[in-house]
Amino acid sequence: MKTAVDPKIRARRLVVRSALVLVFVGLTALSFTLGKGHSLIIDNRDLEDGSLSAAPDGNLVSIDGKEALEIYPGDRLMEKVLGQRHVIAVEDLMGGNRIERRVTLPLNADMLLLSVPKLIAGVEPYFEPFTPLNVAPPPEEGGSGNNSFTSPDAVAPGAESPEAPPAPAP
Amino acid sequence: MSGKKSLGRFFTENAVVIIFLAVTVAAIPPSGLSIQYIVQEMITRLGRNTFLVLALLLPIYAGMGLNFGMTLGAMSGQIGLILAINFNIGGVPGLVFAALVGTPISVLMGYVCGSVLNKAKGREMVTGYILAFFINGVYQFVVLYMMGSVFPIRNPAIVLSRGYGIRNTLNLENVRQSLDNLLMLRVGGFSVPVATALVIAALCVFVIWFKKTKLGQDMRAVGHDMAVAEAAGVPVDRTRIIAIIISTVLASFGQIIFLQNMGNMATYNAHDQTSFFAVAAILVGGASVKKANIPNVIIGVILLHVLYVVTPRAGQNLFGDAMIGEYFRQFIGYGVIALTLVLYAWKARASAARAREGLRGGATGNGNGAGNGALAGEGGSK
Repeated sequence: MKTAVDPKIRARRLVVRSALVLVFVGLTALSFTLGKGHSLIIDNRDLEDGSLSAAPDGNLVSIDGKEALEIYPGDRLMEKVLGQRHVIAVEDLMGGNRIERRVTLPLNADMLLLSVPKLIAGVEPYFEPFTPLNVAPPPEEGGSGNNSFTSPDAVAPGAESPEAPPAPAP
Repeated sequence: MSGKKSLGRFFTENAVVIIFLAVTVAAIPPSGLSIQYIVQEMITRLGRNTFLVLALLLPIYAGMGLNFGMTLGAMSGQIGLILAINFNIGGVPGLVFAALVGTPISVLMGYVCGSVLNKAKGREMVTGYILAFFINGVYQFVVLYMMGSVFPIRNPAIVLSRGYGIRNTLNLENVRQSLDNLLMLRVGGFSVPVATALVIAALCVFVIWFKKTKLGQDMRAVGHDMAVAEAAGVPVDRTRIIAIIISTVLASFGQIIFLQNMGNMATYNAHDQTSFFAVAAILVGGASVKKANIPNVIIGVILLHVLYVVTPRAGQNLFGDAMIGEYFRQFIGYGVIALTLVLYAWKARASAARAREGLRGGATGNGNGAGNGALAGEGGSK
């Protein structure tokens, strides 16, 4: 038989449980924001609309103080970063002129094109979402991992079966 | 005479550890591996596996035996990791995200598992083992058919080409060894993952603290004798469910730590052997179905993994075929579990016989205690 719980205790329990749920949701959101990965394509090409001067020659680009990348006109380099906020430094290889910009990347884009000419000129936004033309998925792997006790002829779950329906046309 | 008896008793009580130690030590010279290499492997593997094995402790305290249902927690952790990859969340935050996603799922799974085990008191281990097979089917259904169709998956790299279902192997590049590399210390030529060690140490402290709490004491009371605990006002079923829930949640975290160290995930198989390896490790460390502690876990992980490292090479060098070593380690793993269960049953029967003899002779005390202990074990009358 259940005993009646004091309303005060019940209210306190409710508050504690609600607080725990809030902490849980907050931590999930925080880990999402801090750990969100972006592929940053550092693009040193002339802008198509010609609004800015030509891509600068010979620069070192460093993100969050990591090892700098050498970039020349027409180059595109990819760097993976975690989190939203980053400091991007561009240093002229010849003159030693250094520019630092703080950027906040959007959460909803995985791949971004970061324009070096825009970054140097201070024309925001420095980046735009980038969608690759064709994302070829990695080849399906066979086998079912080690230490599995499936029979040799068994089709591993997740492996493509011959009778699988063809992918719908785009 | 007494010395002989105590030596015999010591051997009986530590038979598994002694046999295992002898086999492992014997396999080291033919393997040809340097001690430096073996020690480095042990440091890595301790970080990789200890958390998972520690997850087994609480159900043992609660008298529920070895929690083969921890596989449910492992699956929950894997779902967390799949979502972390799906949203492209990496580094330590990615692991935290996976753990946070895995937590509610593992709590639910633990509740289901605990409730089922309460209906099967006295047969918890086999019930947990079979339950894990059942939930594995549910997991495969969710991951293979519902992800991408019912649950949207935005990362095309992890979806099968047919448009739904997750690929057989996932690359955990974003979170690979992020916890291990967070604080890597180099001591005397060895790389020590300090952050992982701290997480494991924190869990050990939690286990020690938890044993002293009211709930921890309740668990031990339930583990000693359910009828007495019930009579003393301990909510037996609830306490057992909590033990399994905590174990399942810890297994979820443990699987995440394990997989971040490995760096890739066999989506449909990674959890298959989780409970088997964890159970083998804790038993090799000298634990039994009713008794286990933190040193058992540490010793077990080291011994089991030394064997895992040296036997393939020893097999290769002795017989010209590394597969013999592979077979050997499978055989040893299962053999240890079987031997421990047999020894446990034998000891329980011997204790019961001693207790009966004691009662016939009019003696009480030790005999009764032993008898009660035996009857409270798995397979004993309930």
